Amino acid sequence: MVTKLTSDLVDFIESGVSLLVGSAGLDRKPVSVRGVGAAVGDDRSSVTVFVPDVLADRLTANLQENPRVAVCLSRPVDHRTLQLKGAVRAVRPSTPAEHALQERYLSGFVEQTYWVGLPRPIVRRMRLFPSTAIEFALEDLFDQTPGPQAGHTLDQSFVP
Amino acid sequence: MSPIVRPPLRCFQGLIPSAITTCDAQGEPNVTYVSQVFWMDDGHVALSCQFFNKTKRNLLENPYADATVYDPVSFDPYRLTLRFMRSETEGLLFDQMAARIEAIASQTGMKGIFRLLSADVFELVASERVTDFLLPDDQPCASLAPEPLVGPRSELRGLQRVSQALCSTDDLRELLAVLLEALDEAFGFEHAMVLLAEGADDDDDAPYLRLVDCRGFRNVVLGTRVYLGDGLIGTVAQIRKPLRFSGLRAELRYGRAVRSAAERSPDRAALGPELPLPGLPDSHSHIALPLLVADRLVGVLAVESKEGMAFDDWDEPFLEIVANQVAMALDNARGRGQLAAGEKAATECDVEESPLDTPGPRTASATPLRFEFFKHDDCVFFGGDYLVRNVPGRILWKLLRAHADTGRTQFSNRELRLDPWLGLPPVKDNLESRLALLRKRLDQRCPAVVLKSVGRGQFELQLDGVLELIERGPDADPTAG
Repeated sequence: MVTKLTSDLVDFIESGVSLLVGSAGLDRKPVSVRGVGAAVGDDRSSVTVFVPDVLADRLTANLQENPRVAVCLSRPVDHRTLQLKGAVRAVRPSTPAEHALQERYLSGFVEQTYWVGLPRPIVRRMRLFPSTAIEFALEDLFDQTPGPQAGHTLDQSFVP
Repeated sequence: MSPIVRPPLRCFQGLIPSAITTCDAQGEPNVTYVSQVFWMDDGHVALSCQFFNKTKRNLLENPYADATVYDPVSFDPYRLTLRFMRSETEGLLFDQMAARIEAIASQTGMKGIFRLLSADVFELVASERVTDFLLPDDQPCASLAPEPLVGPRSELRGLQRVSQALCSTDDLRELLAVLLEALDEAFGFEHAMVLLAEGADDDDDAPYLRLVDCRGFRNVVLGTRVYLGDGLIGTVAQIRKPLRFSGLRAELRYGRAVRSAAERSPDRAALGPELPLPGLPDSHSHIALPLLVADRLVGVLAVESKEGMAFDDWDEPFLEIVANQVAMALDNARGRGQLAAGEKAATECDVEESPLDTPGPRTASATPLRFEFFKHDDCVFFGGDYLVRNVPGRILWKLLRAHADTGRTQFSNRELRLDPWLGLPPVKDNLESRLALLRKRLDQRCPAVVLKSVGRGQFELQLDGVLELIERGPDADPTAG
């Protein structure tokens, strides 16, 4: 199934929100890792997320065994949360151009977390590089904002 | 098995949201936020389940899960490798976790909608601090932790101070004033309030609490009712257990996110209004303790702070001891009949109603009221007998002098604070306690003079007699008669 993201959702995903990347290997023991950086493909149906290498070992090992991936994106100030699911197409080292993207993403995240009380100097210390790029084909979108609808397939009423 | 690294307990106070990752039997992962992670012991944690969702379905198929909690001071992550064991829907653990959620639900108008379905218990397979998540801290940076309290802070000494204060008087108004003052000075708790349980025996009304005294709030209305089960304080009264929120803004933000979602769901009809916070509009830390004597609820003591994590794991048991003493003292006062419904102390908080105040203006009789002021030691004598001294003495003399000179009867706390002659310190002047002491002395030894509270920081001097004021010089001997 091909799912296309609206421009609102693209802006949300790339804005520097909280980003978690989840996977599970053949042993069905799930692992998630905090990523810093997300870019939506030109086709709006694929997404690349970036994870610092120092955190990525178990995640990438799982993805080699099982390409299913879940990405949870949440805006700290109001907990508006989106979960993307799909199949990984590529796992590769990130490029210098993508490092710049990650830095912009972190700047956005630093500001968002500042508004909920985390000092900027602490969040700025999040490690970015070297990083692994994980590109996946988007299949499903879920509204994961806490509440009775959490986990429902995203409908038109979701405005990030 | 990997060793269990115990994260600092502040990681479980909800300041930084935790996420849980599960997967179904086919290996489809799922990542979602969880409102509460509860550290049970070095082998178990419990996660809150408010809605039956994909996470729960996954756990029933495949028990393995991964959760991360964050240290809100250092932002260090701790990874918890979990195996689902069981869901508890009653018992101590469930009640403990449900209370926090109910308090937030009530505060955000979501009673019955946002509630704990189960406390999901997990075996802690492994727990590790995630290293290398942050770059080394090469320069000191700001921290979320509040600045240490100024001055010596020994809990035992603080307890002694509060205990002494509670034993220093059997007058309710003074008791409340000295308690709040001692909490401020001994523990640094600047914003505190006491509410008393009322209405339980009234068939016409549900049980409620009434705010009877407070310190450190600007817009709190004395006399305000809080019904049992309403908001943070009402929930504490209902469950009769203390509740501590170290990151209240974060928990309310989470509650509002659920509310915002519920507003778009069929549950919206059941939503109530969000309640204003009890004291500080920007409260960040909040601790409320039930005041219990045997199985009776006497009231609630609530302390707030604008700082996150203002109350640590030590504050809670110490405050519980304080609360127990306060409960007994208040209960004794009530037993002596001092505690008529709605009785309240004079503070700078707004006064909504004051049924205890003497009704109607007094008509001065011709009885002579002879006061003497001895300058050298600030003593005031009434009718030849010692009445009061020091700052309360100077306050009384200022009021009587002003009335005798100009006929004034209306005064404000503010003008007292601005009068250098009274010698109040610029900070922590304890004016309310001094006024409470003065009122008590007048009540006991000079009932013809009353300082009647007439509004926020305002009071009226009422006299039943004709003043005669005599000022004695430094060489006078107050005991000479």
